[in-house]
Amino acid sequence: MKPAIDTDLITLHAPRDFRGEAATTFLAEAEASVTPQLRVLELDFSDTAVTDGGGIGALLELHHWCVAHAPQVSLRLLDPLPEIRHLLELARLHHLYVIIGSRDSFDPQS
Amino acid sequence: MRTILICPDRTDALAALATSGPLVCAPLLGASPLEFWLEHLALQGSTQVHLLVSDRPEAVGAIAGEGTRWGLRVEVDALGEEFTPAKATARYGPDSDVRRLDHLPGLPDFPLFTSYAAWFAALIAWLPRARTPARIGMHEIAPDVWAGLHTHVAADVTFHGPVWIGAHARIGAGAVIGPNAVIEDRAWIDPGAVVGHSVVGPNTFVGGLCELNDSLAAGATLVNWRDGSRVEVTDPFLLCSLGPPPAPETARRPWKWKLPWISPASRPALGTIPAIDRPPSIRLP
Repeated sequence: MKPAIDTDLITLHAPRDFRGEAATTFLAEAEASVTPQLRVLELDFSDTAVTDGGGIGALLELHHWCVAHAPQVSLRLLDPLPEIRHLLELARLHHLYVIIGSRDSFDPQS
Repeated sequence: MRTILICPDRTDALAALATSGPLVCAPLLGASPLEFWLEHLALQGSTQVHLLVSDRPEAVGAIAGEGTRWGLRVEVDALGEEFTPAKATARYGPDSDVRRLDHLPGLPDFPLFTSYAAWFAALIAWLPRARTPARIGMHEIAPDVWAGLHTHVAADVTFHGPVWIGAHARIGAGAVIGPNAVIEDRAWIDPGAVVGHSVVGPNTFVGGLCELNDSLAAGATLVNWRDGSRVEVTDPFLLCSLGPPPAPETARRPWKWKLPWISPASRPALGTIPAIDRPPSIRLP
């Protein structure tokens, strides 16, 4: 998938089936897309219908990698389905990622 | 006095609650709406109850039985469709007390079966009243925190009442429970988990460090009661079912009910028991 590149923001579209190998591949692409100028990495989950512990693990690993190698980058998760969002919240990923739903009001300063 | 209780049919709005049985039998604070109603009617002086059931009447019959548990005479009438109160009155006579089991006793402003949010609101409203006379062993372990028999709660669990912990439930170290949390019978909360504004169903495991908010968790099924979204969790380390409840004591340990049948006169004296029945280490000379 080709990332949409802004000056300091990159949006990556997560696959529909965010599990196992697909999640691992997405993780590698996300890490490769991080540059020293990057400030915000957005993961668009609007198409993602399925995830599991493997997908949650990939997101967790991406957060750890960013903390270690690109601490200036803030991570956002865009528009997940309510079911996916609930699963992410069960695993407490909403403490690591800013989860923005389509109906949420978003403060760009945050 | 004869009471007619109309049990509502299943509804898509609460599909997750009706998978294992009819809605009136769904687990609710260690019992079910049906049991709370029968107990309430018994306390009110009813003697005869007709249950009009259109959804899985055998499950309703398994809970209600013949009503002897409450001192009632209960009959389950299996119907093809849900009766309206007017239709029930026409069938059973105008002297019958016809009620629809769509709320808990004394809480008509909290309908049970319109949505998950309504179910949760009714459950929390019912929580202070759920310590009914028939319930044994429920005790307050902290302000607004009620625990049933044989619960195991680690010493450093943080509670924010109101909280209900069912019998045989286990809560691990460092967990944060409440406010408005219901841990049903035999549920298992692993260390570090957070449960707030949620219901953990019977025999349900919540994994370590997981966070349940605004949720109804039953086995691997996770429902957000605010927006009604539902997901089946495929990773048992996050959320899973612990299997069916154990068999009743009498079924597992037949000696428990066999022993009283041996009259004292027919029991053998200690000296007459053959030595071969004893372990060799304590064999008497």
